[in-house]
Amino acid sequence: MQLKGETSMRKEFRVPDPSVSAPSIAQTDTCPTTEGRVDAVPSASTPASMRGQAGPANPTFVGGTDAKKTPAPMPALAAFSLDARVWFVLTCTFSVCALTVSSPLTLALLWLVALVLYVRLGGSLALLGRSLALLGVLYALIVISAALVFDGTGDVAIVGAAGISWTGLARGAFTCARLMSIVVLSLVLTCACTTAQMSEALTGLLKPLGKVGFPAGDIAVMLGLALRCIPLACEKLATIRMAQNARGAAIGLSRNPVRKVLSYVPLMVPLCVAMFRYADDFAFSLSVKGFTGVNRVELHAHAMSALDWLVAGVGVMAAVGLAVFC
Amino acid sequence: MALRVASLTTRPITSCLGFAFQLTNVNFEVPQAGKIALVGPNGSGKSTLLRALLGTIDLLEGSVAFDDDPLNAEVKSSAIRFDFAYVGQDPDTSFVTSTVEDEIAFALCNTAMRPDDIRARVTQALVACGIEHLRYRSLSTLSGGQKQRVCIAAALALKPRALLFDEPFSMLDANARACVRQALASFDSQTSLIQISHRFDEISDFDSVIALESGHIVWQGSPGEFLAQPGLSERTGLRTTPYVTCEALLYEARFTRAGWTSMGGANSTRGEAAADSLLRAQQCSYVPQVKESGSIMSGASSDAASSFALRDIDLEIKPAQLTLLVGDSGSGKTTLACILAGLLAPCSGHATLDGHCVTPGSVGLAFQRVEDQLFRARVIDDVAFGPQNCGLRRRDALRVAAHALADVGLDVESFGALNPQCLSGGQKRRVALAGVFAMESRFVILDEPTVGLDAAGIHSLLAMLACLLKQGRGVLVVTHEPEVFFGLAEKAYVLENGRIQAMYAAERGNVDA
Repeated sequence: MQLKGETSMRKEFRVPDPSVSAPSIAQTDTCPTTEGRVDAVPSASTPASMRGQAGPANPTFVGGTDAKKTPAPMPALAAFSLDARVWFVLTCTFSVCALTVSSPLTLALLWLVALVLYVRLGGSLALLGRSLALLGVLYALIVISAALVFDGTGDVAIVGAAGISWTGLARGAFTCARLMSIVVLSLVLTCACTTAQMSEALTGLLKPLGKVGFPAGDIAVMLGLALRCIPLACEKLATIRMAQNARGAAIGLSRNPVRKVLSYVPLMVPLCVAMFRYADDFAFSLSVKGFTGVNRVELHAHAMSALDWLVAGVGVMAAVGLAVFC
Repeated sequence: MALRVASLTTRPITSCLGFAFQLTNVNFEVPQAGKIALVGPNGSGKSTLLRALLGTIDLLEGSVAFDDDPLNAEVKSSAIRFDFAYVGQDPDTSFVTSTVEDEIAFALCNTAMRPDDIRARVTQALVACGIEHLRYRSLSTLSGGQKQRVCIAAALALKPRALLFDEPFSMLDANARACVRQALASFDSQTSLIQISHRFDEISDFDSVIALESGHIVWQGSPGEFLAQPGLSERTGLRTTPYVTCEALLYEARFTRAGWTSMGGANSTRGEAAADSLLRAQQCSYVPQVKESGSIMSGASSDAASSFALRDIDLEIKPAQLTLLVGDSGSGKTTLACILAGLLAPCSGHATLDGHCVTPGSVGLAFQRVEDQLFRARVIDDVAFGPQNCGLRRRDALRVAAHALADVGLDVESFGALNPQCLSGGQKRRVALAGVFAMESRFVILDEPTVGLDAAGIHSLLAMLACLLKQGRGVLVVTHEPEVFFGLAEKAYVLENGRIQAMYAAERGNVDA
């Protein structure tokens, strides 16, 4: 029962082990009577900004939570310790700026700043490459649709009236560059903030809308759960893929596009079933924890520092300035 | 304050196959600080009873009251918050936030408490469970035992009148189970406890045992009386294997107590002449990839990559022989299983089947929760999926699938045309196992097949394994509960921190027994 394309299949595999999320208990799960205590456990009254430093895993900690684990601590990160709300606002405004600037030079400058930030925040270039490549088909469609002309005005004739317009090609490439810059900016955000911080930041930003009846509490919990579900779904997907491969399934290996799509059915059906089960479990969990979406107490309410305000203000003004004048 | 449950009857719940189920006339009383165990086979209504107490299932009649303080419909929502706290089987699906502190505080934030009071409660609960050092950790970086202790801390933080535990230890290995039990024992409280369990060792010190069957209470008494009652353990599916204490956690003690002989440590199989028909790993090492920073996935898994890396693994599995691969969570068992099944390529060394490199599909592999791989609309089609991938024509594949279903104790006439998603949990697992067995590979690997099984499930699993061995197929069972397989297994490897630390062989007499 030898499968074709075995080598290429193997390259796709990541560690599927459900125990991946459970490091050795012998090392980490010590009995309460024998375990060593962390001496500098922060007290409940410790300011949020201090807790990040005391927390064992997160040198970039800013808000009231600590969720990010980076492979190696980077001293340079201290310079980027801004409130997650600032990162969020800056990412949004500069993304809008990237869509509105008309000068290629300005867009190149945006790219450069975002790339430097990304690298300084410890982002992986391989991940950047993969993220940019994800939208490869979209880029190709944009460039082709912008470059192709069918009225005989093309700079290079192909067949009959169809041709390629250099202006259109440049316009298509510029649009792609805009989209790519948004991808880079989003990656900067994921590097700078933990998922929990992003969720909190969005909640904080939406909170004022609660006064006009917007369900900010519901949205916050939904977002938090969605963020939690992404890694769960990916781990589940990897396990199901392994299980189906062990049954001889050749998923995504066929060159025939129809067969290729159909080969994903053994992967997608169990994943959907598992996600519905997760949704049920989460709903039950929320209900037994008394969640109603209203009148929730905010545990990590904290004000932004003067530096946060300054950076946010300067950043937003710079983005608006670039969008309007460049 | 005693909890009194009187004449509890739920609305019937109808499954997609048309079977109706309801709890009928359930009466019991739990004294203050009392401990009650709910036992019964899968599908007997234990979880439904807990959900009825929590108020998430509609009642037709009956009452739930603390002393003479009835929890009527009006106070039901607040009862959820203040009177009962629930801990389920799988911490991963019960967490609704990302960090330990947030998770413990989540339910408290839904009450009208002040933030300072909430923090104080969180601290108390963390101290009670001995996990105050984990307060600011991300939940995704915790081990299974630590996660379950966070769940218990979140329940204790509510200061409920009664704790409701739905098999909280079922997904933990012996080490983690001992740690969580210790945390619970050290917590001095006046809170009552109602716990569902499939293992007698977990409930031996409880005040009372309630046995449920088909939604009815069929027996009630003390744990001592329960054991003395002939046939009750079998009827309720309670596993009576002895509890593995902290002192006896070492696998060495567990194997030698059962009469197994040590065959030396790592690399003891190296240098042996390769048999003709053999699945073996030779000098296999594996280092998992570390997720990149910046990826939204980077928080998904532990950073302790080295804890499940494999180093210089030598292991062999013979036909018609049951081999065990034991070790605690994170020791690398599943990674090794994937390498042996040809699904992961080792960084060095190689896994071979009959002297050739193993390819995906040539060795059967059933993961934990094997039922998650079901995807076809009919049982028989799902089981035939593997054989068809191997090139069998549909008619032949269906014939092989029918045999595989018979091997797992399911009748193709009754089950073949049903939708797998409509079956019970135990039946789904059997269908999925049949899908693996139908590959007709000469070697089969089962990863933690005992998780979540009651005594009846274990019994049928052993029967399936005996059937496979009889067919001359070699079986590797990855488990942290070797005791379950002592009757069938002949050889065991102990994996610790990615290395084979020891190898044991069963005495022939023991195997025959």
